[in-house]
Amino acid sequence: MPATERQRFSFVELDRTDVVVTYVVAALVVVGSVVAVVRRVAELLGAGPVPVRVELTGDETLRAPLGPGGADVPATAGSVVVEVPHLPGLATGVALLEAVLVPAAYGVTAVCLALFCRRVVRGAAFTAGTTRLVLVSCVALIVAWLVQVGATTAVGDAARAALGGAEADPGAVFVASFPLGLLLVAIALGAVAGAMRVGERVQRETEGLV
Amino acid sequence: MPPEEEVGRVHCRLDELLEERGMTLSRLAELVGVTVVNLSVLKNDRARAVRFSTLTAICDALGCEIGDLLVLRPRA
Repeated sequence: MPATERQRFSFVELDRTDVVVTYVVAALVVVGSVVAVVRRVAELLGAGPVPVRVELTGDETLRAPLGPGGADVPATAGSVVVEVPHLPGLATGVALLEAVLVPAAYGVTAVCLALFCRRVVRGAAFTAGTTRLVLVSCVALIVAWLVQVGATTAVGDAARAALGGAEADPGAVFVASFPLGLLLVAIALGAVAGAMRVGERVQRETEGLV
Repeated sequence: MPPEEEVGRVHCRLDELLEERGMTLSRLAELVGVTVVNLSVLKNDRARAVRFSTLTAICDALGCEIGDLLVLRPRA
């Protein structure tokens, strides 16, 4: 490897086709996010009842039409979507925040990962800019996770109250609604960012080595 | 890591040593097992670090001491 020219590492063998695929996926995620935001905001601010997902603790027994001839059978569900005639102002605000921030975080993550792939293909894997892209994705997902956890609990409680139902144990609902997958992806991205920082340092130290 | 200007004070006398011995850079590269590009980097004082193994191989090939190959320029 030439020594004094900026040493470039490509730890994943990607070509232009792979990058185009990541662009397409990122574009799809962005379009999907925008559609999700518009739809949810329209639901929340529209005149009709607001659909709200309410997490269940697993103690509730529902009836599902899964028996012979569509007969009801006892069932349990992790969550249900209920229509709330009027959601309080604060809950609407929190739901709007979730409606905008969570899809936006997914969009930002998809764009960052597409740009990450482009930089890797161009041989600029271990650079400050590439590490920043991974860090931004990580932070975006953590923000999405926090907003999702908070909003699910708060809006779900507000929906229960608005419907006049019994209050659920907040702790049990929190545990039942804990979106572990998103957090694990964020942790994995954080680990990648850490590894890239080490790579940056190693590259800096070996530049100009003969 | 040492400051950049301190690294830049090290001068490699590879050009002079090769001329004295009538040897080309390509020939030295063959003898030493280092690419011509890397030797060129060293020759033009663009290297920022040299492996002991590279130094040893170059000195063996040129029949010189490390001090003959690398000298420290006075501070500007």
